[in-house]
Amino acid sequence: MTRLVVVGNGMAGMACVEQIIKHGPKYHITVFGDETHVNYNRVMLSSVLAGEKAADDIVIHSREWYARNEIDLHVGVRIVDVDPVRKTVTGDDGSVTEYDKLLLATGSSAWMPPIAGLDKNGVFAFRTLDDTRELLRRAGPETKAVVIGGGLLGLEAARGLQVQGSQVAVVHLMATLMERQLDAAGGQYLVAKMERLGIRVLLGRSTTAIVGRDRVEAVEFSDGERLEADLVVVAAGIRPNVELGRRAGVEVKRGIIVNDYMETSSPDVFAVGECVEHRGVCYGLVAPLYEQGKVLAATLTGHRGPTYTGTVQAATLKIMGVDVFSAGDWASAPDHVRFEDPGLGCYRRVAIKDGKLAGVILVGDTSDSHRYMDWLRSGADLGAQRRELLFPPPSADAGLDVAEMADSATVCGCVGVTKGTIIHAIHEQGVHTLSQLKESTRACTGCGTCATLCQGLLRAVAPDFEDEKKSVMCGCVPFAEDRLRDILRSQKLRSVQEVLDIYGNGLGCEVCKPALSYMLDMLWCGDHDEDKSARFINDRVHANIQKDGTFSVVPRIHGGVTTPDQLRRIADVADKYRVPMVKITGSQRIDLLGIKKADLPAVWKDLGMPSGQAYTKGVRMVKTCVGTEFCRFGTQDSTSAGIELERRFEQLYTPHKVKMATVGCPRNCAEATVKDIGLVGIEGGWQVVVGGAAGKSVRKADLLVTVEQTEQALEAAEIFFQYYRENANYLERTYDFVERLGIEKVRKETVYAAEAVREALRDRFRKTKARARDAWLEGQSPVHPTQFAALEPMDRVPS
Amino acid sequence: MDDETFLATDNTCPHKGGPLCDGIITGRSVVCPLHAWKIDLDSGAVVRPGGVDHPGVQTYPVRVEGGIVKVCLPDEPIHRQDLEKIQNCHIVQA
Repeated sequence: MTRLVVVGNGMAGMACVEQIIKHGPKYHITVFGDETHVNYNRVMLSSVLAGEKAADDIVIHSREWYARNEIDLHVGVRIVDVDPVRKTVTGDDGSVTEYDKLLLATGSSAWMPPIAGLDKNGVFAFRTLDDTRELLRRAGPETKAVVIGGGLLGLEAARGLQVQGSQVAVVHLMATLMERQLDAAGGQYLVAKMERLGIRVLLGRSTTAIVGRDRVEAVEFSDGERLEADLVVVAAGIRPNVELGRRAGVEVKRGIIVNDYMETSSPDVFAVGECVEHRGVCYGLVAPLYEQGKVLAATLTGHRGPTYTGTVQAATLKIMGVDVFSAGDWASAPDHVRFEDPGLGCYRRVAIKDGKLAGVILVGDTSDSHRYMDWLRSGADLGAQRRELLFPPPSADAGLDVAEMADSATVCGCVGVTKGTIIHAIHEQGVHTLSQLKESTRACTGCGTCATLCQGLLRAVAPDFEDEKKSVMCGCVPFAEDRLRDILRSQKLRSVQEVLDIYGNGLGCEVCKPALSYMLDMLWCGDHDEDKSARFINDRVHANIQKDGTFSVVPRIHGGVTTPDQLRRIADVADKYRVPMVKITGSQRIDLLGIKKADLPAVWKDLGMPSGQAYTKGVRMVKTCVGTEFCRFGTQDSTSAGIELERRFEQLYTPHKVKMATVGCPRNCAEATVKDIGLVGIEGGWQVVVGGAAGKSVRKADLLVTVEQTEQALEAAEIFFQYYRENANYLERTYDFVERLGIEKVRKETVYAAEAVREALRDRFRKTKARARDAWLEGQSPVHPTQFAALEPMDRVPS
Repeated sequence: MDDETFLATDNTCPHKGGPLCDGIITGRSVVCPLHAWKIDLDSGAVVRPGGVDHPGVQTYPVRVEGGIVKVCLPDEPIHRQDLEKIQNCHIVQA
């Protein structure tokens, strides 16, 4: 077999190899990579630095893939020489390997500008996984980091360091941030967003030296000014690695010159990726490199025919919550339209030339990016659509847009997923929702800008397409809830106002404030910065507001089992405060209605019982039936189990109220099969059921699991409960949640998940419970001096 | 409001008399806790639901002097039961 040696184990090279393999066993393939890792997604390094992904999450090809495809992989070996006459490559380990065909995929390296002191301890590039690990090691709250270079990579590095707690400043030579992708106005909007995140931006600064004895201590500019630093990241650009091309004797300019078939000037040497120069362009983005790889694979496997003609370049900034998109040539086109909304932090510039779209800049709202890309690629005449340039209407026939895309076109640039791969997933694996697509192809798991396009494809092709309701809570914080959870978790935000300031409109409303309060409470297991003013009244005063502004008070009666002493206390309180109505509720407890706000702390004190949380998005009660303690039909001690269940779950908050019940036998006297969580006693064990309801909706609960011991049943309840807390949307009851996911998936991710996963869920449940306290204790120590302030009539005001 | 601004209105929601002081502030409006009517605090107008034909709630000019928030009440004599309807949103003392 012909021997193909590939120098470079990166994304472009291995994508090409993958394509070559698809054409059949034509080559014996040997791969040399100077990094010690398998092929990983370099684009996602920014996510790893920002704590959004782990190193393991970004592996593209595992060792097993290389083995399975009989690829001879040599990691940690840098090829230092090529002998085009003998047709050998020499590694830095001394090895000499013969080739019949040589593929150079050497990528590019960080360009180091002419700054003194680059060799000091504490100066890094941001190219490799090793760089990232080193940065993660050093970036902490005590670190002052300076990033030299305010382009895509520099900004992403800055954000990652800042999320890790460092104080970060970005220093940029030009007067406009990301000046290759943005105009002056767009750049200003971006600066504002970066500063809101807490990153300092210094523009128009030329760095001349990094100073310090042997460690970095400061960065010096051409005007003599200094900036303190103990960590410096140089992200000032990349240069193609062309040395081996020279040694191989092929034509090299800025990059290794290739033609439209990806051939170099030598018949046995080929090149792909960032080291390549095609029609004068050196690409630094993934999508073009994948296209190149396909063409090269065809050329190399005897199917020379398809050509690579260049790619319309589009750049996206991959910082969560900071959306920037730029494509085409927006600078030289004479005709353009612009839009600005400083309130929302949005800026658009659409440039037209000869009636066609020439380029576009989007800052703040990039949801239309794929429409602009379509226009750029197709060269459509937009003369008649001038009014729609700034806000392209959703394609009346979305199917048409996606139908026109070639199968080989890249849909997701971050991960490198083509339309063909997506179509395959839809047809062969029955994928019909965006979540499924993400899981199966990893499309849309990077920056997320391709979401609209992916949805469009799904809608057009999947016969049973399901539009997962985007569940954006409201206009104040324009993100879907699961994305928001990721953002809050990875960016370590702890207060509602912080979230609103950085990712929202700074104001918030009655919809998102309580939802964000819950989310923060849940993510940090109670260790967040609580803001009472962001809560609904019920959660401010821990009682249920009634139609006349009075409140209802329901003390906790565990499992619906009370004592004469409790009843006497309740009766005494009802007398003392002249409570208008004492009512027995459907949840097996007692409600005191008509109590004035100012009386609440005193009422709670006199009751001496904890809050029943009857007013909130939290655990309500556990109803019980009598069970083996007294009932002649009982198979289990449902009363004790119910009381224990309520004690374990009380005082915890949830996306929506959680009602539970335990019954001692299938006669189900406490209606456990229509509860959020129910324990149904059977001979020899318990059935744990979830997702039931008997209120506005009526739904029979699904069986989660059957167990033998009561303790196992309680554990199963804990695991499901925590899973619900972490994955449901705010205000989504378990009956909607279980219905949406399907009980199979719920089981797989809770009671049938790996032990580590189950343990982790229980651990977070316990952590949350450890911080939980009876809300009514705030009666004795109010959080705010006017928390229970009643509105007293004022005396006549002196004039 | 924020640290700097104080606005004062009647406490009674024009819908079913809910206590506006127990609502949630959004921007320069308050949302009534009973049925989520939204009242603009500068003008007293009903912002949501739209198309409501109601004069809105009474507003009162506010001054902050020496760390005390002062609400300016109308000149006409006020009956005690009317006084009960007028309240500050925040009570701050130096």
